[in-house]
Amino acid sequence: MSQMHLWKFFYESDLSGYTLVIPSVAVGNVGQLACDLLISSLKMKKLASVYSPALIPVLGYDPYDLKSTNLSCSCEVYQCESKNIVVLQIRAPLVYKYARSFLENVISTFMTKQIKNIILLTSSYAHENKLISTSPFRYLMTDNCSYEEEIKKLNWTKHQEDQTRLRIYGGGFATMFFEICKENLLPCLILYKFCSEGDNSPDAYDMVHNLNKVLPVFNQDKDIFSQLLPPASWKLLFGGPTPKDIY
Amino acid sequence: MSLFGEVVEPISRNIWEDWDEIIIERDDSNSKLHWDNEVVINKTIDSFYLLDGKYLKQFVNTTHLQLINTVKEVNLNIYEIHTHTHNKYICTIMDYNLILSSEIVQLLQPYFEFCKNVLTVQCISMSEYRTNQLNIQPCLIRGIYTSKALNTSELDIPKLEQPNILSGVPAGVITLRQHLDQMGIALICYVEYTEDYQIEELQKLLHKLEIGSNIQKGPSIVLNSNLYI
Repeated sequence: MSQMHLWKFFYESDLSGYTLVIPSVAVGNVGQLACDLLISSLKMKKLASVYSPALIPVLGYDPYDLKSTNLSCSCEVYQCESKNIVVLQIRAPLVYKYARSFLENVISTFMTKQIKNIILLTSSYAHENKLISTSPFRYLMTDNCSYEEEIKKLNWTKHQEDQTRLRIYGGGFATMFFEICKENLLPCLILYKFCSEGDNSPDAYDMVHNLNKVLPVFNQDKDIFSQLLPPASWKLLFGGPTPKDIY
Repeated sequence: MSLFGEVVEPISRNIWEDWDEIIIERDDSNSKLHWDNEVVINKTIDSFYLLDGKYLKQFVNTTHLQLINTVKEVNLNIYEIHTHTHNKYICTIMDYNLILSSEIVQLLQPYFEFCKNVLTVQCISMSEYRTNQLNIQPCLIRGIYTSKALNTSELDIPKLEQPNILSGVPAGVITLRQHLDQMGIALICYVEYTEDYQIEELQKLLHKLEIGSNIQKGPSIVLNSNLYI
């Protein structure tokens, strides 16, 4: 089964001690948009691309450079050497039938690369938020995760587990990924935001802002929003300009 | 041409499966698509053309072609054309579930192992084309080229501008070709009406690719007849 997932690395890189950031395809695509912001703002280099039957195929030219003739597909890995992070950007939903096999393959690939831990960014339906007076962000982490101290200081609200089965409604593959991390004793933190579908780019900015509190990749003394650079592909997200004929 | 008022949702939001409702492994999780006939390829395929969509299928008069394999569930058919100089395969596909795209690409993969060139053609509604320009032609053709095809292709078709993307089987096929460092080109025809049969640009293109020798004068559908006004 693992041969179904083709990894193509463009250059050799030592990822030991790195943090992997991965989005779950979820309501409002907040995790993916946040990863787009990270890749674009940190000017991350493309390390690898992945072809798998678990991914619905999408293809286009480099979304971060309008002049590029390099192709971008459903799943790609980006690296920032100065900040010790890698981002596995997923641009299409996973096919349920192959999802577990793919996620296991992702985890085993990065475990062999000796990454330190994983942060998964996702979202949940706004109507699922029972504590509306609190922050719309929630977190969930494995017992061996090293972010406990920082999160205690930040006073974040923990994900409420009111059922026997772990669930984040609208959160896509997040919980499945979390279970696989637990099985492999790989430290994993899930950070998610309650939101609704619409223009979710502000949610993505918020997500990166919160991520930066536990994983400081941007200067914390400066305004983070001034350090974030939206990718070129975010233009025309909701169609083209209004035709002049209507006036 | 005006597209004002048309609701254009990002593609990813239309197709994602709601995993919240998937509690027990679904019964169909192990059912796989399969070819009706055994895949036997014992020669090099010079060109493999994949035509995605009902409209493009109508372009090809399949009565003179040799059907070699089919997957009925996804309306996938492969035909072979023998000429003196070239050995071509034409594959038509239509009305499939996007979630099955990667599985369909897996089925096609054995054919690509013996294939020099792969070219896909897909018609997409003009409303999905993202541009800053106000005046757009009624038909636009754009291309996505694998690294190997970028400098070698004889086609003079501009590359697809970001943030436009391609999805489905053609996207999977070209992604796979790129991963395997092979030649592959995806052509995307943005048209106002995807069911329209008189698109001159497209007819010229298929003629140039030598798929158009079997072009029908017009599709045999009731709406295009003079039965109704």
